[in-house]
Amino acid sequence: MAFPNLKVVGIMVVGCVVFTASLGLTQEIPSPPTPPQPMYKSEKIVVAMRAEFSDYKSLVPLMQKFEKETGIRIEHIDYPAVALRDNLITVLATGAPTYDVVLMDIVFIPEFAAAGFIIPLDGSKDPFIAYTKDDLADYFPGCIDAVTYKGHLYAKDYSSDIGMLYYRKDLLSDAGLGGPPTTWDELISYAKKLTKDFNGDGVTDQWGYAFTAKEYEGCLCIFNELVAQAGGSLIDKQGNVTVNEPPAVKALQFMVDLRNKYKVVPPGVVNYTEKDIHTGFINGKFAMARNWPYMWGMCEAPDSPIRGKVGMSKLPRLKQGGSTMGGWFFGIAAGSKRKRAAWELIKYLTSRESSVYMCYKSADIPYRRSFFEDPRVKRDLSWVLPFKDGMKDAVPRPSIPEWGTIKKPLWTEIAKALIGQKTPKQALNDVAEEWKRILSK
Amino acid sequence: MHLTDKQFAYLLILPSLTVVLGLMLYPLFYAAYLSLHQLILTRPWLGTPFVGFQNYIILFKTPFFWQVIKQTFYFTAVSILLELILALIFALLMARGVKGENIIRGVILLPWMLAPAVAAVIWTWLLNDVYGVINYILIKIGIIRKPLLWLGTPELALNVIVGVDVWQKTPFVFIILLAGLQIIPGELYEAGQIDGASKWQLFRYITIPYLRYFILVAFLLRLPIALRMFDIVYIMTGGGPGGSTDVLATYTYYKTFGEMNIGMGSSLSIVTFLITFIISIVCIKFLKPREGMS
Repeated sequence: MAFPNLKVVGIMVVGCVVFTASLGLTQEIPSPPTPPQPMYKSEKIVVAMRAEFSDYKSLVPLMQKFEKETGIRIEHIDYPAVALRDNLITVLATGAPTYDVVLMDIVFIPEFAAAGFIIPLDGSKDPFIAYTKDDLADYFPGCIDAVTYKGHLYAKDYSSDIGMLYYRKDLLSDAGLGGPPTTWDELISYAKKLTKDFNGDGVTDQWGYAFTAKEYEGCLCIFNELVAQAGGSLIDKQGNVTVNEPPAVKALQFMVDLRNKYKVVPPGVVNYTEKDIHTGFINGKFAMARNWPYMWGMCEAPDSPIRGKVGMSKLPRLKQGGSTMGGWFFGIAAGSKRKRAAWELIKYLTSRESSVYMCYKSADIPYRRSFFEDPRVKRDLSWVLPFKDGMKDAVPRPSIPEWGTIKKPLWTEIAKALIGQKTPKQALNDVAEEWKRILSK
Repeated sequence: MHLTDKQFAYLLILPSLTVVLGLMLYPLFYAAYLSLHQLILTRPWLGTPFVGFQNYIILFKTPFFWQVIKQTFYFTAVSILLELILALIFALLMARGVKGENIIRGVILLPWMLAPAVAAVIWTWLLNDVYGVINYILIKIGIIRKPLLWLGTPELALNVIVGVDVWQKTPFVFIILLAGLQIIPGELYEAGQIDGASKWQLFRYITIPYLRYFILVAFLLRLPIALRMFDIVYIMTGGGPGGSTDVLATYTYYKTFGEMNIGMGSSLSIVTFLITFIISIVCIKFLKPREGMS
């Protein structure tokens, strides 16, 4: 596909204008902050990034402002999100100086760091390229963990993603429930009350809950946070495989039971991606759902049928809270010949001021504590405040370079457990065996 | 230096031939070369050592690889068979000329006009268990009582993939067979009828021999494409549920771009190539019509 389809782009423009307009109807959106003059310049900087529309609304104006104020030309190369990893790896593996700044999903970071595709940003490679003490203290601990590999920091966050519980306030109060469920047991009993067959034809019309369990990363995000909520991990900090220990088995059993025993989630969750979740939730098919922050804007858009009826909270807990961390980060390519200038750009794009601007423009929220204390955010963007709680419980997926390789066995076995081909214990034992084999190489 | 006509002809096509062969053969040889080495892009510290047939041995020892082969063959055989049968039926109905034949032909051709990826997305929504139209209609008519999980049930999913492919590719086979039917001289049928042949005998002794060549052409055009089918599976199921719809192309894609194991991915590509090549040669030898037909 060489050219973007203009009609599709047009629809997306309208959609996002509507979406972001709904966020800031009364206040004026600030303009991009002015960057300080960089100490190191270059004639241009090449940024490899994804072509999602919300990025365009905020990152591109910021880059244009940077270009205007500093005279450094910024060239950005855009990839569709699903093709980003493939393209980044095949270019970075050659060591060519093609890219200076690379945009990475949180799960790429350990993989790229281990392969030497990106350089450390903590001063160890180049004293100039280092996080400030201020930033180190400002980011949530989970965020610092996510960018750390073998003791060094490799990336800087500009946008976050955490799993949240969305619920229909009106449907819950109709069922006599005061607020959102806060424990696994409450989730089960609330969802049971909210799963209804309105016309008695044997076909469920409204499901109590929904999550993504198609065989892809989204499924692993669900599983990962459930395991954390049960007090376990997929791979522990020492690198031992713990995916078949009791907490993880309990987590998978919970997923399986929600679908097959309590029947409060549609059987079709095994095919669901985020698109199915937001479509179903907005159309009233799901009373509660687990999804990422982006869905909030869609629920509250002016033409949304459920505007004003949606609440958002932390996910329910078993032993503790847990919410899978996603997010997007900037790194510097090891082959770049303009590393210091690249760092100047990254500092600007991820600064506190830029984050506030980005939230106004594209509803991106950084993993910064100070962000939630900013008076402008408290005044105009108060819808972000529930995410602060979610971030405290944020837990990354295993930060190991082999994550790209060991994902598939995990989601395949989760699927087999969900459709009843194996028990959760069998499925996870098989995963553990495969993981031990791959990781021992 | 004086060239014969034939030599001159070869000289003229030499540039294009070189380019085409270069584009075809270079990647093939390079893939074969890579398949004999270990190359994992995200583990550069392993280097790219020569490992001989190690990749192939590991592949053949992986049970899932054989499941993928089985599923690929099942998909290829069933979808091509169904496409040939359906296309033949349509072509036979249309060959005699029907009212509004241009419109009908246009409608039959519509699925073929869509990009396969688009067709896959459309069918994914149609078959959705919660708000898909297919389940809705089937329940309303009373054929099923509860919505079926088309893409989430292992036994159904692969057949759904076959169905979508049949829906999409039958028009292509139909066009080829229709062209074949239309060149059969009408006098043959008249002569046969005069001699008292039944409809079935006309079909068997006149239509089929002529069509045999066109069926072979359609089959040979469909075969490599079916063996390498990627987009329908990738979009609709991602190889699931539980690996029950994984085919050679999606498995190769996962090994190459998921695990970044270029060596293994190249081995799979060579295996795919060899399978396609051998089956094509065998089919040409077996199905080639007798002398004087082509």
